[in-house]
Amino acid sequence: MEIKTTIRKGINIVEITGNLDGNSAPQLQESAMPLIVPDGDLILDFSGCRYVSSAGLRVLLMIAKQLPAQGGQLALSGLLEEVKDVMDMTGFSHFFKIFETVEEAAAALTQARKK
Amino acid sequence: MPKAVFPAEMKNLESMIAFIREGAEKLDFDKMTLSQLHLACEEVLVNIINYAYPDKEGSIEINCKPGQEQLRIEIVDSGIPFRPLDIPEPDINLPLEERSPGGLGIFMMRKIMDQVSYTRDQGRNILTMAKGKQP
Repeated sequence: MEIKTTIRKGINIVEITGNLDGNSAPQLQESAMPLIVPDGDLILDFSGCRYVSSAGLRVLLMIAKQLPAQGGQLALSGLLEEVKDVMDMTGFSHFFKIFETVEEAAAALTQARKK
Repeated sequence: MPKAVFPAEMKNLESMIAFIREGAEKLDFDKMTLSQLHLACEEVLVNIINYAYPDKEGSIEINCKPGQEQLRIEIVDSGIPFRPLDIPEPDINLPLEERSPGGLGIFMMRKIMDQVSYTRDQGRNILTMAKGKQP
């Protein structure tokens, strides 16, 4: 798995490419932890990821709980069919903000900030 | 019946999954089902790798039985007794604040597979799972 982090208009964007499984989940955790900062908005882009196991979900849950506690917002984008299936199966799609593209996610987070 | 034995180590996970995918080939599953099979098996295998042999090295035996309409996969270890069917299911309707990551892997495995059974036999955990072509 590869992880690329960029900042666009003040929003941290983490692109996940490859499988998010037991082997690679710690890598995502390591990359995301420094981005959990006061008022830090974060988009996790899954458009390059076809596979998420429970080890990956564990890290997502951790980010989803910790970021709002700091006043940050989290959004997911680009979920492929297989990953969406996992989110639906586990009920994670109930509480994640999920968008088709990074751009849509960024627009929604920016809009929510303005309110 | 294709059978393979692997040392229960994380570095062998990929080979184990590859072996199962090979066994699944005959059934011509669609892409989504293959991905689900991968997930279900990985969850079981990672559990064994992480917890079955706390004080010693051990192995994992995998038997694949591809039939006409369904694939049966038997995963066997000689580690501490573990009944996956006893793991309480997470409530997937709870709000985020109340969700915990525990039990999700086994939960997904049970959702994905059509049949799951467990036997403890002569010091071995034997988990048998079946997945048919039709949902």
